[in-house]
Amino acid sequence: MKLVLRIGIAVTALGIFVLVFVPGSAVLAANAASIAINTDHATPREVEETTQKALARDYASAWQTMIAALDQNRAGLLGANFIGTANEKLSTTIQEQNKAGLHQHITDQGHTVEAVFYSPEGSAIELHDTAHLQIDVMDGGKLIHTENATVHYVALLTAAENSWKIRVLEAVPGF
Amino acid sequence: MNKAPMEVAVKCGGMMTIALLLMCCFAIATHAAELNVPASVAAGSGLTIPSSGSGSATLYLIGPGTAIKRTVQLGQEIQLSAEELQNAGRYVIALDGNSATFFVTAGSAQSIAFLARPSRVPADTPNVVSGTAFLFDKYQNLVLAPQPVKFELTVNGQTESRSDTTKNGVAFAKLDSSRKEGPAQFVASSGAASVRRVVQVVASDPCSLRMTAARDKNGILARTDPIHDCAGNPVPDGTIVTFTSTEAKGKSTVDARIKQGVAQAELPASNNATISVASGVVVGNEIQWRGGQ
Amino acid sequence: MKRVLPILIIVLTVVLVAMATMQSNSLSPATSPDGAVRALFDHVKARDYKGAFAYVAQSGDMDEQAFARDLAGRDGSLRTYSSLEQADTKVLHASDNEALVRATLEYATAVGAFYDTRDLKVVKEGDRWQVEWPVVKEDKVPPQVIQENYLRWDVITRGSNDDWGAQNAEAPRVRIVSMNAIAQGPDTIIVGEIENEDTVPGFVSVGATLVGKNGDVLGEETSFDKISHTLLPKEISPFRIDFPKVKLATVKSVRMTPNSMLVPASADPVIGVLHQRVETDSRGRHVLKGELMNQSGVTVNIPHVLATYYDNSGKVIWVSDGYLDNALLPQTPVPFAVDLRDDLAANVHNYRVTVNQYMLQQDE
Repeated sequence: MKLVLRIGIAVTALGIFVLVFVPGSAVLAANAASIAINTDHATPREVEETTQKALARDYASAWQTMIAALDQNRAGLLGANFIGTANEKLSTTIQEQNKAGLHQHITDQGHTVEAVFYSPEGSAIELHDTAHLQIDVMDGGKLIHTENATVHYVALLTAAENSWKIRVLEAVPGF
Repeated sequence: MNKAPMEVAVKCGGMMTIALLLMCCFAIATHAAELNVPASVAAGSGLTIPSSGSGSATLYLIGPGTAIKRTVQLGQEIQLSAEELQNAGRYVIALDGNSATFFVTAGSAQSIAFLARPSRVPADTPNVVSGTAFLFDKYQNLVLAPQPVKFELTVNGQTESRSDTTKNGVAFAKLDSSRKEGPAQFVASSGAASVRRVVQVVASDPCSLRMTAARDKNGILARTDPIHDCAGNPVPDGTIVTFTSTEAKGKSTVDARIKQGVAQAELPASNNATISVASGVVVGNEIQWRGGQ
Repeated sequence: MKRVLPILIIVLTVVLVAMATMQSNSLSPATSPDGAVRALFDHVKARDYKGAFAYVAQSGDMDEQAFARDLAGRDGSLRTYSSLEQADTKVLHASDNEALVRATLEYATAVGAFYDTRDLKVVKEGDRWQVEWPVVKEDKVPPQVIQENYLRWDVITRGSNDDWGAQNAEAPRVRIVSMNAIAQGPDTIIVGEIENEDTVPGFVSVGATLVGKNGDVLGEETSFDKISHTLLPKEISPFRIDFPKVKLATVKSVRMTPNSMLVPASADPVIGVLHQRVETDSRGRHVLKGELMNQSGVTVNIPHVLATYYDNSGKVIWVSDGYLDNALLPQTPVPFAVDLRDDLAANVHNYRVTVNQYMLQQDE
């Protein structure tokens, strides 16, 4: 019995260690947006392999940033991934949420993304994103709206200094 | 003595019936406050939503650039202003325990984001200038409905144009550069909206590179004729022109720069040398230099 | 006893420190030809030119200041930023009264090790050997006015408040005009040429990635300084990228990445490369020799020579480079020599020399 107890304590301690100290642990991975970007139909320019990878990385990062910003009402997070009107509109949303005591808790359940336009000189890309989201709108601690939604987004990204940033992110009824 | 279980059963049944009735009443009450919103509205057009019931309730509206919480009177029409619905996107509206979603779609195109690339192109080159136009409405929403766009490239009075229809809010065109160098005005227009950019057309590679050579006090002075590209545009000053003198003793080269349209270089004196000239990958004429010249 | 030991240690320490700090042979005469040469360069290493000059034969016409300038460098040349690290001597031949000593010198410079070889005549004056330092003819540029009206480019980039569609002043179009992968022992070397096809100057660099047969990346390198980085319009520069310890046989493909950046530049100075020829030097190695002539009115402090070698089909088969440790004074020829691999010399059908320059300041 004592042996069983000791084994149990050891296993628990190891589990805590892994969760707290091992980078990229399961707790963090569960919150990361999963992105699949299909660039086969992008015109007029073909999307290069290195651009595809950068795009997938930067778009996923932008979604993580937006979700965190809308949940914590921190507009300062947006600058790394958003630019122009997308940044302005999201910042205004957060400002208004803050004033009203609201916040949005969004759980990202994955995206299916297709590149539909890549400009000839390679500085702008338009994506069609079908996002699966769990959206909870909170007034303080009170849940005022909850839904499991599939939302279609048109996203326009432009090349910044060393990453792609979202300039337009517009939800649309359909593609 | 056998009546006790019966009494319990009757009491339980009664309580369940009352609970059921209460639930129905609640359902009826909530159904009375259900939100009736359209699937979509145009940006900046406002919205009126009927409501039923009585008393006050809290209205919530969350959307792009919008997060509103205010008290409204049930039973009266709820007004959402044009300013509150100017940004295109998906909105959530909640009132008194009910919620719904609707879309705001972009209005008509009022402005153009125009990418004209590159800023500098060689003359007389096909499909070298590209223009990409994104259409936005007055609230900076991307207009996704197809719209006609015209691209015009004008230099020295000569205009080339292309027309396209936007797809997913964007139109693009590729145009040839003109034969003549100079600042080309590149305009994208759709309806009343237009944007102008300047694309500098510069000379292409030198064409028919020719030089002459003459004796001077320090050696041989090699000098080109005025250097032009194949369309007749002068190749700009500062362009490298390489003069080479090859003789039995060895080779001498000078990377001269075009100055005022010509390039020249002093090469060492020689009695028997082959003098050649080149600029980039374009090669000019050769001169067989004999000491008596 | 208690006092004797500490006093002894202190005295010993002082003596040892004095021995270490005192120059060997600081005033002692050289008793052999190579001893004289070594002593001279030991002082040069310590930048004690006065001490070094004590080993120079007084019968010559050399004065101390000219001697110091010859060794220390002048006019902001590479030599002025160098220090003598090592001097190896070898007596080529000797008699009772004179000898010829070869000094092989290694300087540490900001651009790597620099080597020089001097054959010095050493004579016996009385009981000491002295070095007959060759009289250095210092070039003097006669006073004159040289008109400089070469083009200069400045760059204004877009501001942060510009509309997002507005163009920026773009980097120049560059193109790799040739590329060749060569095996050199266990290493792979990529050589080639890059052209600035545009009408504006640019700062260019070339990177290469070697991909193995399984698609794995075997190495990524750039040209570093084996390229002329600032290219004027239509200028062509060679480049060489070295991949140490990567065998050519393991390489399936090479991915080239040319980069360019728009930079302010001047079309000045023009440097002529005269009387180029391939010869063998005193060590029996092939070198490409010639003279550089600065045809402008400003001093070029640190010239960098790049040589491209072609075979009979016009393919680039080697690129070598070398820095000159003398500045290029206006209108004054300066000799140069860059190495050519002995195993390739027979295949060289043609060559081209370009000159990079680093200038400390330019008058407006």
